[in-house]
Amino acid sequence: MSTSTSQPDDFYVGYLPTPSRDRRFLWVFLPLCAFLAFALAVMTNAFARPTGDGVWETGAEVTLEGELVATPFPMLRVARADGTVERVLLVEMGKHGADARVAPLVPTDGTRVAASARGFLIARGGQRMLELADANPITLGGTLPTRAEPRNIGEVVVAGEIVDSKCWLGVMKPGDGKAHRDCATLCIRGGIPPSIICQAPDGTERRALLVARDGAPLSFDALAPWIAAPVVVRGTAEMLDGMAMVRASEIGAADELARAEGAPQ
Amino acid sequence: MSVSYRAVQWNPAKKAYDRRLAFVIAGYLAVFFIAAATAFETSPLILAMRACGTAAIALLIFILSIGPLARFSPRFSALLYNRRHLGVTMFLLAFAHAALATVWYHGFGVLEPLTSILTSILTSGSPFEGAAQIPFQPLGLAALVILFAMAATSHDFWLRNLSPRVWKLLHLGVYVAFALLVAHVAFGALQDAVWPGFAWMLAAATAWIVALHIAAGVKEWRADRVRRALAADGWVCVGEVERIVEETAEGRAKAVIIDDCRKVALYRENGAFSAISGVCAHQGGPLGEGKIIDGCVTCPWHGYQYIASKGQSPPPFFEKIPTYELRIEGRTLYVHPQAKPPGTPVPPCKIAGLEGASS
Repeated sequence: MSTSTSQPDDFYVGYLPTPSRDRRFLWVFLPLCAFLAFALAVMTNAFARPTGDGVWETGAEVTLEGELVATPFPMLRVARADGTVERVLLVEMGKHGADARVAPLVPTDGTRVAASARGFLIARGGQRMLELADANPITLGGTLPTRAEPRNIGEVVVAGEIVDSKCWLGVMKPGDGKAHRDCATLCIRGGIPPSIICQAPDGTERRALLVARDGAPLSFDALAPWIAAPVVVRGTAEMLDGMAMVRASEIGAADELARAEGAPQ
Repeated sequence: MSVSYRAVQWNPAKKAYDRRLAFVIAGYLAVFFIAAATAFETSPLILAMRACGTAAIALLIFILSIGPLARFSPRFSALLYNRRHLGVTMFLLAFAHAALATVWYHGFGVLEPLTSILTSILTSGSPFEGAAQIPFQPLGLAALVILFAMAATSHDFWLRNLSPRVWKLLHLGVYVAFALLVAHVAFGALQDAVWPGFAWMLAAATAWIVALHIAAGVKEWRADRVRRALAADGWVCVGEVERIVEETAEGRAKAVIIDDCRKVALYRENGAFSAISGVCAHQGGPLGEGKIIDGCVTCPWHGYQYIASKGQSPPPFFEKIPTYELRIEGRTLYVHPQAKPPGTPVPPCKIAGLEGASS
């Protein structure tokens, strides 16, 4: 095609010099568009929802010692300096629970097992989880903390969201919400302990381990439809060394409960 | 215009265009991550996912705005010229967003990522009611498939081999993709948002695109609805010669519609008029809004050129468009409604008193 540069000043053709009128216009219009785009970038972050204070200390391997527990989920009962006991959930790397590794180490006859677990801490709001290191992370032996019985709290109705404990405690930020649903589902399918999270009346966030009415893990198929959605869990609650656990007798959609409560009796 | 295909057809204008595009996208990502450093801590991959996703949808809104804006002002033609590079860039950003979501949300588990996605699509949301529970990933995936088909066929090779009509139809899929992406954001990210401003921003952007297209459509429709009188032998009356000459500058065209839908461009050149199709053979650009440069009608969209009296591009190029016969009876200019086959030479219709006028 022609390579003439006889470009009229009012008609743009890409392969000819840009008319000065178009150039002046673009010098105003394009920076304005860029400014709007940059404003979007700022607002997307400035108005993002809070993600909590969870941390995932991937670079700092630690070793914890205590009593190895296999049910309902793998955990380590660790004695604190003040004499109390803390339950630290144990999980594998990725979206995998530690049941296959821990269950064979703990006798089913109630014999208590002392062990050391090596891995990376995940923590949020004073609750901790240990992501086990990949090579021989558990060593049997050590000191057992004092025994403690679960403290029964009674019947509860908890309105909140079912999450996988690992992401919510700090691996993913945010580790809840609809966008995170598939990840939470994959985590729980892989054996990561499910939790119900909710807001306490004082506005603080609360988490409770979620199990079936008999204290065993809930079946994945029963739980899957309710993950990362507004739900209501009915059941009984208990405290295991300071860690809340809800034995669910019923899980339902939160809006159904709201409708039921609003309906004439 | 091209006589051979190249992977990417760059010229100085396109290179400058792409440099600015790269600068704005790099700037957007930089601003995004700097802003994130001062906000609530978010996982780096989720941040990258959000940055690519928001950049993609912002770019799509920009792309969809250019066409109708160019209907209102020729100043936007410079943005229209290289819109395909914008489109491919937008697809790459959307793909990066999808890839990051796949790796981060569907990876590292007991299912393969693609199995996890399929499982999610086939099983999610069933016990719930209401829009908030509608699964949003399939909407994004469907949009990505459309955007991929568009990006993959964006080259002139496909334009020529699919035919401009099929190509255009395929690329109108961008509107379906846009609707799917609006739904993807509305039923996805917005469900987790705590600031209502995000919903308003999406609604405003959607309203902007819809309103802009309606306004441009109305403008076109008003121009197209002019009913033209017919002579006894079927020729279509364009109007009084004096008035047409007055309205049409040398080297410019009068755009008319005949048979309610066919666009014809009547170009004034050297004291005569030539009638050609008003639709560019390349991408359907409005030849009636073009200009004669160096003796050739030049399309305002991508600069494709045609010799008005021949209906074909100057050698070595081979694009052809239909031509029309013109005649003057008394003081009235008529155009024959039957288009000549593309590339058929038609002698220009001389206008008395205009002969010898310089171009």
